Amino acid sequence: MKARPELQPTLREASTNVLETMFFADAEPAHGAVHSDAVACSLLCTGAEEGSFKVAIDRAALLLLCEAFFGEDDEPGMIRELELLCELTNMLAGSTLSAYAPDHLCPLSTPQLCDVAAHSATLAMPMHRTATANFAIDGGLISVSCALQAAA
Amino acid sequence: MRDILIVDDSRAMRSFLRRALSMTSLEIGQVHEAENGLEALGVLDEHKVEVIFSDINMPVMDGAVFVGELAKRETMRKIPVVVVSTDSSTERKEQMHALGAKGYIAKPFSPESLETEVVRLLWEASDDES
Repeated sequence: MKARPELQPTLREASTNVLETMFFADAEPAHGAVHSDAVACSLLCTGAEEGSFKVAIDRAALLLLCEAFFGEDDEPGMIRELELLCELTNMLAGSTLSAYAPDHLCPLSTPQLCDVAAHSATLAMPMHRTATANFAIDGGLISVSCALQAAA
Repeated sequence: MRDILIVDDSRAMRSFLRRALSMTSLEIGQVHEAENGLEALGVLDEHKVEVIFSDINMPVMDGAVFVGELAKRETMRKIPVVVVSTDSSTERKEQMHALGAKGYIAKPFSPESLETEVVRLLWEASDDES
């Protein structure tokens, strides 16, 4: 198995690329935490890399990403926003894994909405490499986290 | 005008692909949608399309089985399929090409890259016919 690149810069670069290319967002690395109205989504990966990805995002930022993704003519709404959050989580995880383990299959589970408060606690599993990338985008903050371990 | 079929279980991605196609200079006719491979086969029984965009991970019938099913059908096997996926691993690309997919677009992608891939496929398809 080839040596893996560093997880942190891989997550950051893949996330920036997704946000800028698919959502036309200006994503600036940032510190801090999401607001209390934030929503979160997570998924699991299996195969060559086992672990999880989680995305938490401020509601106002999600709303603006929604407008950028679907266009302003599209029907807005909470369900539409949450569908987009699931799709965004899938894209961020897939993009990161494609750069991190490009020669291997890492199937992803269906993204599920999750509790923002539990966001980082579930990442603290022993043996996993973890990384978090926070970005300031229009409307607020988005936080992308992952915990991965090469399959035995 | 080119009629197109988008196969993806994510309504969000189907909407985005429609929007991205509308941002290109391609002359797009009817855009049909299906949530999985089985539904897509039903759409293809009813409508003629020139290009299919398909996700891989879908319930009921996934993209790999769908592409394999197309190859078995005389009336559908020549329709070029472009796989649209977040998974851009070498193994996955080789698997989908071996099954018969003609193109592969990894997410994230821009409308420009979508256009480039469609133009390439249509060019190849017209070359095959002549």
